[in-house]
Order: sequence, then structure tokens, then C-alpha cells
Amino acid sequence: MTREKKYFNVSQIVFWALIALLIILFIVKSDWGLFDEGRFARNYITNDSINKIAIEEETDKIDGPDTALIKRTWQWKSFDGKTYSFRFSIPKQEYESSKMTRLKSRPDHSCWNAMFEHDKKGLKIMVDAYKNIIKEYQLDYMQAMQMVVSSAQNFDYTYITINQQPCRDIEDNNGNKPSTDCKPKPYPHSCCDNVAPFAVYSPIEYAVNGAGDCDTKSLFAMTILKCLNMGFDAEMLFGEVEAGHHAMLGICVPNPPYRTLYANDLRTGKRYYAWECTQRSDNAELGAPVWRIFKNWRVHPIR
Amino acid sequence: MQKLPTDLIKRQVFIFNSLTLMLIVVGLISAVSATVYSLILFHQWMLAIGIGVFIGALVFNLYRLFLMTGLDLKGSTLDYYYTKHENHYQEHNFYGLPGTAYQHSDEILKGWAAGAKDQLRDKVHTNPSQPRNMFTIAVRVFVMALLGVIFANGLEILMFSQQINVSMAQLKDLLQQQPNDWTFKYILTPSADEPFILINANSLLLTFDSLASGLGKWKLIIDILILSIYMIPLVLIYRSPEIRHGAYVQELALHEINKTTYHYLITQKNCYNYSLQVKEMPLYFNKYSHEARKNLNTKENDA
Repeated sequence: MTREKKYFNVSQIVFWALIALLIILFIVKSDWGLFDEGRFARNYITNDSINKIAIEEETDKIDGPDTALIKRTWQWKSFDGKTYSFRFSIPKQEYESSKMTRLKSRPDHSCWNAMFEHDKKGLKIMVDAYKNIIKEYQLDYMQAMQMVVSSAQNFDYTYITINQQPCRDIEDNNGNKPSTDCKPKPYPHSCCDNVAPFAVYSPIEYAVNGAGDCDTKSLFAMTILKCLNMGFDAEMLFGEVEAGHHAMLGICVPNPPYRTLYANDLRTGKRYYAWECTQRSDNAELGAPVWRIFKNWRVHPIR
Repeated sequence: MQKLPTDLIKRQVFIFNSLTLMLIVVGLISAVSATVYSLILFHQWMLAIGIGVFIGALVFNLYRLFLMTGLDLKGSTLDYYYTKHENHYQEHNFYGLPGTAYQHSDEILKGWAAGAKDQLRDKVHTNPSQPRNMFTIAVRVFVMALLGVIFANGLEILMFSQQINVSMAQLKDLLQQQPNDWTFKYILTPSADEPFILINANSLLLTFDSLASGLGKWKLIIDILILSIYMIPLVLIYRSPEIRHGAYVQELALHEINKTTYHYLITQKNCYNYSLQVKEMPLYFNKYSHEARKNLNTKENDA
């Protein structure tokens, strides 16, 4: 067959093969499992910005003497200007176990996965408290997210360090040094030394102590959003900004308030908009341009 | 194409028959897809089928226009004669023939034209790498790609109509719990005089959403499959040397040149004959006849 004839013959074969494939798809579509019938209804309900989220009552309670529970009260102002508050308790045993999980995890981003998996159970009472707020105020999808993230943004920034860069070496551009008592404070803030192995507190530790930097706060917010089981698609993002290496909360939504900062998950093709958890202002909304330099950002899936 | 080798004639007939069949298939796909869209919009079979047939015929003719206007002889030796037939007359000394030449019958003049065509056929050479107008190519590809993607959606809705209806049923169940939900009332509930046909929803957009959500990444693959079906005939016209500068196109051009040559000779013959008749006719000045006669009489009197 000459080269000229080959061109037409091959194209013709490809055309009719595609038609045959189309016909086969018509016939056997239901057996190949290509279509997920449940996904649309779930996405529609969770992404609907008008309808309120329906909360299912849960009756699970944590039993035990009061001394075994660490009790806290949180109060903060959300983006809608409303002040929310709740009380929660975390079993002391869960707190200690969470700390051990952190200390035993690997000194890389996989420690986020380990801490998330472990802390889901211990944060149940806190998650229920968030659900009660959503139900009481009849918050919709975006309002619920803003409420959760603003609670994580509420505490003052605390430097979290490991041995390679101790607190005593930290000094900002104005020459101010943070205190070293590891308690959240206004500027020049505080610092927690030797938080092994990766300079990040677990979600339970953040809930109890309130001390955290970018990855601690983002991990906490992400954990709460995932544990709410309301279809929030949240992951951890990490990359570089003008201040150096940084981590932010990533949310996949079809209609973010801003679309400036984001990272794409190459495995799923989804776009996660970045939410800055260390700032507490109206400008720190989802996807807002809080950083001038935003490079090498990646999605770290917590699954 | 009677003077061409038999196998070449058969090959060209086969090629253009195949192209026609491809166009018919594309037209049928468009008709089916348009019928699906119309069923969702109008809920009437007859109207939907009518619209589908109309759209299918429209797409068929539009594609036929794109394909046939894509056949040209740019870059071949025929281009010089085809774009200006006078070059052909000049080369074969048909300009300023002596009067005796026009004494021959029309059949002989036809033979001269045919002989010139045969001489022209012998010196045809094509240039397969002749560049084309990129703008017209871009417009054609864009229009066909757009149509391909639009009609791909319709086919996919037909393919997965059962699964889409299951999704819609799940959504309807969830929305039923919310009072006065607009989507439940107006989109998912049929009116009394227009029951649902094919898809249990009044909205094309909701159907698209359900399709995209349910198929996920498979939608892109099926879209590309159907888009390829739409693009292959266009690619063939542009890339296959058997079609673009093929024997059929050359014979069409030669036939046209032959026709105009013959008509040119006939015209010249008639012009020559008319000029002879005109020269033999006596001249009569009728407009100023009384003046002319008066002058004639005056001269006679003088004489």
C-alpha cells in the first residue's frame, strides 16, 4: 500500500472503529460503572449557597469523670460579623495520645495525615459543637465554612519551631523577638520551642492550647471541616510566599469569593483555593490575594 | 474521468463515497443529539424529531460545504490555468484564429478543446506541501469542533439517560424535605399537560450538571471520542493527497477548462460569422434621410 493510500485507509478505519466503540458504549454502558448516580445529589446539596445544611442528630456521648476531660470555651467573630461561642471537652487521654502520635510521626508532610487520622475521634465533641452552631444559626455551605475557619483564625499567631531554628533565633523585620512561653499573644507574638518532629501541633493540641502557626491552624480547620461530614472538600496546601515556606487550607468549591490563590491537585484535576488561616480580617477570605509571591504550591491530600 | 485508469477511477469513487457516508453518519449523530435536546425542552416527540431532522440536515450541508470548498488545486500546475483560463487559450493558439478555422463544425471545435484538455492533463503536477490559508482552516476546525462538543453532550445524555434519571430522583428526594424549594417545584416536577420524556427534569443545564457530575473524568474521554468522529473527515480533506489534489479534483478542473475553451471557440466562431454578415450588409442612413436626399439633389443640380 502506498503512503498516499495508507493515509485515507487508516483514517477510515479509525473513524469506523470510533463509531463501533460508540455503539458498544451505548449497549453496555450500565455494566461498566462509568456513571456515579449518587455524586450529583451530594454535590448539589452541599454546594447550594441558598439552602441550609440539614443536621442529623447524633446521640453518641463520651463518658467518664470530669477530671479526665479537658474543657475549653471558644468565642470568636466570623466573617458575617456574628459572634459564635461554644464549650467543648476533650478527653485527657486523647490529648496525650494525640501528642504521642505527633512525636512518633515522620518529620515530613505525612505527619499531617497521621495526626488527622488519630484526632478525628478525640475531636468529636468539638465537631458536634460546630454542628450545633450550624443548625442553630441555619448556616449554608459557605457560611458554615467561614464559621469554622474564622474559629481557627481567632487565636493569635504563635511561632512553632524545632531544634534547627529555636525560638531565641527568631526576630522579625522590626527587630522584635517573640516571647517563649508558648501562649497565643498579640504582636510580637509567642513562640513554642522544639515541637518535634515537623514543627506542627496536632488538631487536638491546637484545640486545647490555641497555640499554632500556619500549618497547625490549617490542619485544625481542615480536620474540623472533614469531620463535619457535610461534603466540604478540604485539603492541605503548601508552598512558598514572600515570608518563606508556608501552608494554607485548600478548599475545592465552584464559587469562591476570590480566585487569586489556588493550587491544582494533579491526581484528581481539582482546583483548591487557598485560605489563609493565620490572618484575622475580612481580607483573609477564601482565595483572597493575601500574598504577593505565591509559588511552587502543591496540594497535600489528607485521605 | 473516463480517460483515467480504471483502478484510479474506482479508488476515487470509493473515497468520495466513503466521505459521503461519513458525512451522513455525522449528520445522523447531530440529528439524534438535537432530538434529545428538543425532547428535554419541549416534551413533544413530533416537534423534537422535526427539529432533530432539520438540525441534522443543516449540519450535513454545512459540513459538506466545508469539505467541498476545501478541495483546491493550489500549488499544482493546473492552478495557473484554472484561475485564468485565457492562459490555456493562449498556449494552444486559440487566440486570433484565421477565418478558415471557423468554417469547421461545432463537433470539430469540441474536438480541439478536448485535445487541448488532454495535453493539459499530461503535464499536471501537484505540490503536496503547498501551504494553505491558516485562517480558513482555523475557522472550519473551530466551527466543527464546537458543533462536535455540543452534539457530544446530547449523545451522552441519551446514553446515560437512565442513570441521569436516577440522580434526579435522588435529588428530588432530598429537595422534597425542604419546604418550597424552587428546583423541586419547577424543574423536577412535571406540569400536568407536559409529562417528562427521556429526562425527568425541565432544565437542560441541570441535566448537563448531572451528566458532568456523574461521569466525572469519563465525560472528557467520551467527548474526545465524539469530537474525533467529527474531525476526521475535515482532517482527511486537508491531509490526504488522494483527496486534496486527487484525480477527481483534477478532472473537475480540467472539465471546467474544457467547457470554457469549447464555449470560447464557439463564441469566436459566431462572432466571426456575425462580423462577415455585418460587412456584407448595405449601409442605409435612415436617421437624416431627408437631409441627405436634399444634399444629393443639390449636388445633382449643381452637376
